[in-house]
Amino acid sequence: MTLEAWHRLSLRRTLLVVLLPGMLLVVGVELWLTWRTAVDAANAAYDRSLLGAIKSIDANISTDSGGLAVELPYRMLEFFELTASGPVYYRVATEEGLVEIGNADLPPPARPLETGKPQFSDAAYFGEPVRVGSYARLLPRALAGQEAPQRVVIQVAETLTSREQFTRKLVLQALARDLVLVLVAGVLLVLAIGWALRPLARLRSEVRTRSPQDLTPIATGGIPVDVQPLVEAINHHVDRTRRLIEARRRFIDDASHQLRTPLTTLTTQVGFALREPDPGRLRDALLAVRVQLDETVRQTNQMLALARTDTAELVSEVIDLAVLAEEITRAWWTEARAGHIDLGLDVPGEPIRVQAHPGLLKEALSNLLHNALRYTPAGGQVTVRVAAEPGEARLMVLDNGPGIPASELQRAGERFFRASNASQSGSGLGLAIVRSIAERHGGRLEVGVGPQGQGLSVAIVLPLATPSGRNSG
Amino acid sequence: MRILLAEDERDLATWLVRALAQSDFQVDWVDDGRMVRRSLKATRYDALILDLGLPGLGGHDVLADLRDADQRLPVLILTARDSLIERVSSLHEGADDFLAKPFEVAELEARLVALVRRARGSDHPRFACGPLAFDAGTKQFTLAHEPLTLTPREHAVLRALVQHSGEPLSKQEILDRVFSDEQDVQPDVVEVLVHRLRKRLHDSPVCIRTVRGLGYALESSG
Repeated sequence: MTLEAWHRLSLRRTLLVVLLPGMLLVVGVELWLTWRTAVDAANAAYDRSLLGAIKSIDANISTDSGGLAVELPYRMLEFFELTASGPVYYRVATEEGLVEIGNADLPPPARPLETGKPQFSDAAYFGEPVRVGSYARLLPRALAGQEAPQRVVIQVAETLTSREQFTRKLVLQALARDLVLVLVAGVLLVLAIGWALRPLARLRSEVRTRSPQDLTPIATGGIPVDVQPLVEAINHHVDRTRRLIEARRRFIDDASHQLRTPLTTLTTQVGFALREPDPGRLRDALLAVRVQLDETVRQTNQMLALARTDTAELVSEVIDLAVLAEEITRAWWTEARAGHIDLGLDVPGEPIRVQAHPGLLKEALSNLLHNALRYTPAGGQVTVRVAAEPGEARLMVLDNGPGIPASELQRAGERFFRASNASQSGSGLGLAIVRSIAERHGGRLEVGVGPQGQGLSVAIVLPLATPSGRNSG
Repeated sequence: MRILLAEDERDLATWLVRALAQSDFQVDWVDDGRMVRRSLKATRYDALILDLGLPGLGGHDVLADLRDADQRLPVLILTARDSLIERVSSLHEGADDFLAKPFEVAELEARLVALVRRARGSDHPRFACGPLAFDAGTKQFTLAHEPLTLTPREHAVLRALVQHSGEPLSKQEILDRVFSDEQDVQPDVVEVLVHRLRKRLHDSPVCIRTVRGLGYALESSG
């Protein structure tokens, strides 16, 4: 299972899948440790009594006869067998094994014995596990036929029955205790998860039962602090969607209003033409229909352009504003000439580079020129000017036409806004499109009074391209 | 019929005036809400076509202003916003009818005629006076179910009189409904036309009475 697949599981399942085996593992480790402790404790206790047996045998060793003799403390061994609840074996021997008393085949000590230090080890005797205690000491005198005194080794072994009973009992107790703990913890875990997830279920049902039009924020009351950021993020998203839908709705509302007026003019003109018997006036009406149709088409295109600039993906490159201004001004020159308007270009010698989408910027400048040529009377002057300021580039269109009343300058660039002194029909979208394009480029639209306090000056202000951003010219 | 058109779209207004003139509506055009009151004071209109999106004084304000002054003039609202709220609020404010853009000129004319007819009250459910009847659809006069042939000017005068049958119309008011402002005519023309109409109606119970100091009134003794 991949990590992603894990994250997809429900919280409840993830918690249970992780926590339940985890708890079982902890219980397992704990049981093993208990067993180890119990074994150590049992060994410590039982080894001491084993040592007691060794010491009492040791006390009964005599070498007075020149040989090795042991007077076995039978009573003690019996008692000892009782506590060990099994047979007890012993062996007393010289180190080299020449003299052996007791159970001669008891396994030898696991490690070499140190004098006076008892050693305990697990071993097998006749296929039975036994605990062997071994002890060595130096005999006080040399035995007969020996030059030097030897060490005597005393071993006592007991079966493990009693020790095993002891440890099993301890481990079983621990197991019972752990099982109860696991059970209680598991139940608590399930309850806690269910309880903690309840606000989420409530949240889900609240979101589910919402009507699609409901774009009010989700209430954050009664929601856990951990989930609150999620709800806030959702609310933030909902709010953005609401504002977007609101803007769309307003735009569609305005757009339909804006299209209905030219359509009404068209139906009126066609209605007039259909009833007009005079061929001359019929022709006038048809010509007017054509002009009106052109205007309607232009307004529709503007509206679509605006909707597009609002949403179009901005693929920008570094362009020279002066080159762009010259290209568009050239394209409009014939029309300006036809309207007897003096259209001129004013660009600095050096290139002015901005990071921009050339198509959108051309559309913006075309809109400005269209407006300027439309409203400036014959004999007027229109200038396209490009200027660089620290950090900013200005693409301006200046005219000495009627301008916009000072009180309305502020509103220029608003959608569907039309100046009160407008002499031509229009959609009120041209400047709005330019503003939208400027803002898409991280710039702004500035509308002011034209040169010599007359006419209109419209500037698209764009940030200058940084030298590092230059990748084409 | 003399109509006042309050509409700020120059192209639309120009063509509405022309199209309505084809059906013998005399239309005066204003493009500012503030000029509506002044025009209504100066001339007696049969109906007002009011665009809601007027500069100066909005359509709603013009309407409220009119109704405050207890003007009974029939008002037809033109608007590009044809939401239910807009329609309901306009009617509540005192509009008599509502037409959403875009519309057909024929529908506008039919609604204007219906408005004017309704405004005359229940005493005059039709444009009629005794055996004389005017069909707003075919624009034909009938006298005792027989078509009445008239010259266009006679037709226009008789129409003005039948629309206001039973009440006197001054020579100027008749002039306003027969000739557009551009035509330079003397009020005496009305006398000539009334004289000719009287001859045409000679053998019927319908007559055009001269009301001293007030003008003419169409009456029926039948």
